[in-house]
Amino acid sequence: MEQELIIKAKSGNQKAFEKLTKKYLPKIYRAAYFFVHNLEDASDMCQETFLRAYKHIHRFDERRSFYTWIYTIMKNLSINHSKRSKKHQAGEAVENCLPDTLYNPEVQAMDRENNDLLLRGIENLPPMFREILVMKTYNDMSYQEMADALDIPIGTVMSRLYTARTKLKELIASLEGGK
Amino acid sequence: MTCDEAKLNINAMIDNEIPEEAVQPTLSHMESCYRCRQDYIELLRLQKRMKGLKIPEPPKEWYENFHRNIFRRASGWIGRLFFIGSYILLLSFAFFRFFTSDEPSVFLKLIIGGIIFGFLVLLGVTFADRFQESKSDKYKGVMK
Ligand SMILES: [Zn+2]
Repeated sequence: MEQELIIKAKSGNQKAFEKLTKKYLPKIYRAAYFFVHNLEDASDMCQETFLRAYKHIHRFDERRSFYTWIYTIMKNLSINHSKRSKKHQAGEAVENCLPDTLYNPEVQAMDRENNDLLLRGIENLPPMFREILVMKTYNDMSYQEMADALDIPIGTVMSRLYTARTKLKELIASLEGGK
Repeated sequence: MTCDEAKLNINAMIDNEIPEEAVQPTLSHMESCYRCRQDYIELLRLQKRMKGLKIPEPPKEWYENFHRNIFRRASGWIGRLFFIGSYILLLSFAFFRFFTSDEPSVFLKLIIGGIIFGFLVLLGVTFADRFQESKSDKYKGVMK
């Protein structure tokens, strides 16, 4: 099904590309958010990513995972973006960019605090661990897909993911202790 | 099974990626090892907490209009091509008429010729710089 869409998109069918975009945009947005730490840049990053994908889809090998390909484009754009703008330091971004809409009155103060804490914990993880954790938790990528995207063996995916979770637990505990 | 081996399996269990043959040995290990059992509970708790995380999301309209913006931006190059192409043709025509006509003095032709030559040199240098930059860009291969 997806392969069909990709083949159609490669031959210039906009509807097919639109379907692929609809399927993967939410995932790419979440992944981009954890690279750039704010809504505006993450949205721009998505635009750039899919625009590049659209322009270069004829070069995509449909035997590969489409998501892994798109993810790699987004990741490289994000790396270049961070190199250009050093304004977003890890940690400080969280408070600045959570919109009020997220904090509607229905969201309990406790949840809000928990949410902030977790977000801060994730943002303070070393990039290598943050990335793998986001791939698994918010992008639902399989170990194999992660291994392909990161170009590492599955064993490394497993141990890096375990370390990431352990580090995050420690970070949250220390943030909770310090609040 | 050692605790170190069990840890990775426990982690894979959380993700539903544990190999079938490793399930039973890992469960047996957990039964007899308090630390790994505790580890499993904590990892599960963390996973549940992470799944509930809310991040700032763009408005619904952004998602709905997203592909339209992509197609609009992607087709922008046709407009640019026509605009720049016609502009260059027009300029070339004007310069051709200017230099082949008898009316302007040789002195004026030399000045205008100098300006054009300078401009082309600057353009060449800029392109050469860009080319050097792109050659040293280690991420340029990302599309392949
Ligand atoms: Zn153990």
